Amino acid sequence: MRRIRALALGLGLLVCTAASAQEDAAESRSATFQAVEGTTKEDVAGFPLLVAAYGTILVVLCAYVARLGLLQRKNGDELERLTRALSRSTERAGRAD
Amino acid sequence: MNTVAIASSPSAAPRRDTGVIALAAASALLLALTLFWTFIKAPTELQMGIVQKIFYFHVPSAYAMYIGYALCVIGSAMYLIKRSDAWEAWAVGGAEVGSIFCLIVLVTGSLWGRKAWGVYWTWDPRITTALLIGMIYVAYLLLRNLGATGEAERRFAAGLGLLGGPLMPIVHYSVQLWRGQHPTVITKKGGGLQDPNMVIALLLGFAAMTALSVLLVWVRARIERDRQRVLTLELDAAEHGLLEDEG
Repeated sequence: MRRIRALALGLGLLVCTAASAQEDAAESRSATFQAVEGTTKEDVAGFPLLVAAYGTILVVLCAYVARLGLLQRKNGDELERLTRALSRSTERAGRAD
Repeated sequence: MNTVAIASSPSAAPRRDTGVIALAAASALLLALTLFWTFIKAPTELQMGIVQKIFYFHVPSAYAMYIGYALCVIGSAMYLIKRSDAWEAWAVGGAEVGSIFCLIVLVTGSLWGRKAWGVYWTWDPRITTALLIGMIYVAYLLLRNLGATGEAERRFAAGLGLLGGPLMPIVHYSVQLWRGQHPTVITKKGGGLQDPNMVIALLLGFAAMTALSVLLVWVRARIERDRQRVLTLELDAAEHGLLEDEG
């Protein structure tokens, strides 16, 4: 019984230590963003990176919306083709009757 | 099924677009507000400078990626249980939209990294696992688009869609699990956004990207559902010899 209790205690301690270590790992790299007045001196030009980032978001989202439009049109074309074929088939069946 | 029955199938029923239009309007409004708060209201950051403004779309895009992939996991699981085309359509929509946001996250993250670390790419656990989950769902989409029309292929694709599920918490908690370079801004203690306008910009970004991702998945799922219906009609018509003129 004592052994089981000791084992349970040991396991509990291990889990707590692991959880604490994980939290510490995250906290040790926690970033803080502070506001600054006016312009800042930058060693790597930030503006082109910012333009590239927002440009990418815009292009990717617009391209995907365009793809959705194309897929929708393709479905419409397929449905139209099918409708035409069925109309022809119905006419043919009517003539045969 | 005869010609009349095919013509009166559910695909011919009028569709209510109110929900999609409302969500599209909400997404557009939220995106405009996020951009306004990001560029006009939120101040420049002390260390990162203007590049920090990438953050307001980068982090919400990561959450939009999780939403897309989570919908793919749910859709795939439900497809395997119920064999329903509708659930498969949601899975396809989720995988596609998740991958679009994964691409945005990786590209904007690389541009951030150039400023923060001096390099566009590093094999950090968070970045590597994000790339890995993206590759899994690109494989899913390739499988779905390159001839996965048979039942076995569709089931295999659904299995692949499920595979990404357990990877999502790994991507999210990789920052806590392994030491890397990726920063953690949203933590229990320390870190954080020091200006209220930064917080508002981020919250608006979350709302905008959540609305946009749900909208895109919804629209994509509807298109996929239409494609499935057209395909079913075509097969029915061909089976009844109604497409003889088509060759």
